[in-house]
Amino acid sequence: MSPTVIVIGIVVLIALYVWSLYNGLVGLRMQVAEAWSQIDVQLKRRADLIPNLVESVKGYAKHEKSVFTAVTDAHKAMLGAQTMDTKAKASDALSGALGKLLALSENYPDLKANENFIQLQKELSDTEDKVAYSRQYYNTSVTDYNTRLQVFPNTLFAANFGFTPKEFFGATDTDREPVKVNFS
Amino acid sequence: MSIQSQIRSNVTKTYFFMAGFIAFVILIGYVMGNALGYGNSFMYLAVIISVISSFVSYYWGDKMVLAMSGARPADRQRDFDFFTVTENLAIAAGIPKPKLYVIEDTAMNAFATGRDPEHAIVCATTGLLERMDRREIEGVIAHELSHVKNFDTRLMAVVAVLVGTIAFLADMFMRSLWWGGGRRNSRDRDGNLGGILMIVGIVLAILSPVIATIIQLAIS
Repeated sequence: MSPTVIVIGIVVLIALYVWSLYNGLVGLRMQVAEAWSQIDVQLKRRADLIPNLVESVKGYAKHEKSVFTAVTDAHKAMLGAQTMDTKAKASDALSGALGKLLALSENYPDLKANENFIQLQKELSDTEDKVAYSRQYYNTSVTDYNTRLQVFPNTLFAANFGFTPKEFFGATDTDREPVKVNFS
Repeated sequence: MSIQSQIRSNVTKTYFFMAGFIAFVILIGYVMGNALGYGNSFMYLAVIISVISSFVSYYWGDKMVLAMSGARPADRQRDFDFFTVTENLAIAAGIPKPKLYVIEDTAMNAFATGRDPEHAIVCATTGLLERMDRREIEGVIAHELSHVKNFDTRLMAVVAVLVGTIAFLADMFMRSLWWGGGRRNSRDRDGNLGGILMIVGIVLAILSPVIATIIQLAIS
């Protein structure tokens, strides 16, 4: 095998490697984008459940105005949020308001026994799970993408193609504080 | 081993074992056919049966399993926990949600089948769904989904049908012995050779289901 053939062979191998690296990274970046919109899908699903929940609680606990306004305001904020920051804040506010709404059932035993209310509670709890799982999947996708970017041979080429690392979905500072349980 | 290399390993194992079993079946077909005096025709028949079994198991194995067990599709209202838990875990695992079926049985059991995550099926008994709470069901489903994502289900479906095929062929051979020998063809001039082949054939007929089951256990 003459030196020319060997050199050509090596160049071809490197070209194939770079090609497969690029396509792999594009695929993973798409997966991260998809996982990101998945979170939005679940948050929207949760927002959609709110009106039904509020109606069914209003049927039994008409006078608890402050709680209802808190929930409806949080719901509006959630629907209007566009950027990641505002969405996160709105989501947190909504979770807080929902918690108070559900706690109302402790004072109204008829509400607590109502089949519709029980079903809506289950759906809401399931939707919170879905939001958490979709965040987990987003983090998994980000891990795969970032790892592929940062392992040794790939680092030599990835930056040239304009691939940047993505950020994880983490806990906010308020999330990290100890939880205060207050039944008043 | 990372999940990607485990998946690759299972997919490769599936193809290797399909090839290995078909070769094994050809060998048995050859030996038994010649022992009975049918020459190579038995072997050709064995090849056709084993190839057809492989394809049928690959594409329809999951429906066959469902039909055999009398499963009904799961319903979101009736099986809320089962349904929503699987939805959630499929989101986390990044696979499409498998089709869900329920079997009316007091025994607690669950299994997964299907050739790849896009065509997967998860099935549980009412015994399991009634006696376990939501978190326990989550553990069971997570286990089943890991089988789906790992392509274990494809490997096991293919192996199960091929093992069955070998047992079937061994059985056919024993029956033809019982119902009286085969035709003598021109190749069978030497009585001793016929006798030896016959003995080898009988030994293989007895051992091959055992060997096949051992291989199946080795893969699982």
